[in-house]
Amino acid sequence: MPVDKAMADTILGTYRKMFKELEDKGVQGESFQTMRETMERMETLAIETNDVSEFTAKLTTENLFMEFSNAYTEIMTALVKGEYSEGGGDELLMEKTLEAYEHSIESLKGNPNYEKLKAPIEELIELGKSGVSYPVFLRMAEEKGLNQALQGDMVVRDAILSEKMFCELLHLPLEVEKHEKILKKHDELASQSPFNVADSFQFGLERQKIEWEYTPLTNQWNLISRLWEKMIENVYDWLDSFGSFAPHDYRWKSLKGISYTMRNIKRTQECNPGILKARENIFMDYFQMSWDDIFEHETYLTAYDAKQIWYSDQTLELIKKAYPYCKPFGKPNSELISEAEEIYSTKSYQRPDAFQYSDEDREKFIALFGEEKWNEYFGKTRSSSKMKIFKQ
Amino acid sequence: MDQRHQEYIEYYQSRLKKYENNPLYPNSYQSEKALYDAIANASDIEESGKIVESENLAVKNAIALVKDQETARKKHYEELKEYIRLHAPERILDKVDSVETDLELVKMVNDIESEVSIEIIVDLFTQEIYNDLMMLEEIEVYQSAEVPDEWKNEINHQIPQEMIEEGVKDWKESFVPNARNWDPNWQYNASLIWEERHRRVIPIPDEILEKRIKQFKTYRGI
Repeated sequence: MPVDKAMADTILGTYRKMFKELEDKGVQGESFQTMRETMERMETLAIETNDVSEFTAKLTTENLFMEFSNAYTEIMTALVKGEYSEGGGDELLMEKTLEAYEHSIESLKGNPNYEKLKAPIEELIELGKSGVSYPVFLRMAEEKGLNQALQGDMVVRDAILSEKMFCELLHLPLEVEKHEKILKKHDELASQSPFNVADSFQFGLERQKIEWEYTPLTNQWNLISRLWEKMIENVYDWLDSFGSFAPHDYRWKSLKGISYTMRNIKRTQECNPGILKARENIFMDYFQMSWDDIFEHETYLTAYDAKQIWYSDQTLELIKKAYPYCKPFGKPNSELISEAEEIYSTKSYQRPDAFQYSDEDREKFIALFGEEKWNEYFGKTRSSSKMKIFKQ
Repeated sequence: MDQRHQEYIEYYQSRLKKYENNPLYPNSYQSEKALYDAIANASDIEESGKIVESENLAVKNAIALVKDQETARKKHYEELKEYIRLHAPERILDKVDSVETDLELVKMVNDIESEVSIEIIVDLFTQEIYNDLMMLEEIEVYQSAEVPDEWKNEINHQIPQEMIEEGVKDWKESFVPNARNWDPNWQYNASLIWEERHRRVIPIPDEILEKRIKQFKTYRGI
């Protein structure tokens, strides 16, 4: 089965466009033949491969992108050299340069950062048309940092700022810290530059280094959170399984009938303590942490402050009280069971504002990323939303 | 000196300024300076053009920039102990002095980057153990949970066995074929897990990781 057409179009779109552009110009020769053969091979692979990962792998391992790009560069270089060798001097150079910039504005259409990306290009075009000579145009482009700006420096900075705000809204302190460091480094490099624009290459290295430093820290944070979330859930389910409501609850109710439902309840009652103990062993093995450490740990406190804990305060307190009883072959006392039943009957198990964001946060988020993204992240409740957040 | 010549001198002076006092670009500074000197010392703009062309200064300038950037990248990856990513700057620096034209330079850099990008993708398959960590924990949890005899078979054997069977199936049917799209001879090499670039992203103690590696081999049928 061929690769999904929309995916193949996305991957090959730019190459098709580049090929057609030269074909329309009537370009011929060895390099164009290479482009044609490479393009044909890419199109064939889109049909012959079974999925997008196989397709991408083949395109890369057969070096098709590079062969195509190298051939395109050869043709473009020859075209430019040919035009310039025909004479015309600086005036022609200026004309061709401005033409290329105008063309690049066209090709940027549809880019989400279109306005920001086209601004420095328009400034260059305006400068070129202002009557200055070609060398003056080139010098001013350097001095005003426009050449660097063409590499999208403002867009890069804005994107980091947006990512930082996104992480703030999701209450991901390590990610926020990381983005702050990246921004600081960006601005530091910009301030050191003679033209106040960060050197994109240098910034790329610095950014990679900061991201490299934070990867293990973020992994540890996610791992700790994942482990305690399951431990808390084990105790919560265990205590609830003793409640009179358990046979009607979705966690145990079986479509196969009551005997299956009762068996599910029995399993939770008798096995969850052993499962919890095994999880506690892993928690200790990994991080030398035990149950009591959970509630003092920054991962938990951050999640709690961020309203990313699904359970109500009352439920959390009950879970803490039930924990000492949740030992292999243990049972909760009747007082704990009654309290669980009370919470269940009044539906006060869930924190009322769990995963809720203030109107202000919501507006800020939507302004940055759109309503669809908002619904994707915050439209659901409990573990599914939480896990999504952790996965980020 | 005519005005156009003077304007070009000023332009090349501004380019020179970009690299001045920046320790990252010593070669670019020198090559930009050579360009600037050629233009500034020529009697007119036509003569400067001839010098730039005869001495291949524009290509030398491009080579200098590649040298500076790849030297910085080499140092960067050495510091981070990213030894696979390091292949790109090492190989480019090995070949950069042998190129004679701008096109050769672009092609050489592109080819090496493409070749190394595949090596990086293949190397990153090593980190599949980190992605599997949650399943490995679940298997351990179920295998070791203290439960009444009535549940031992289901909890300690059946559930983890099903997880393992699923893991082996997914590995054979999905993971390995995908990896072999990138390297037809690919085989999981567990010893790479201990290399710094992979080890550092798995935040658990060594002895526990050793246990997880054994489990991983069973889980994936390696």
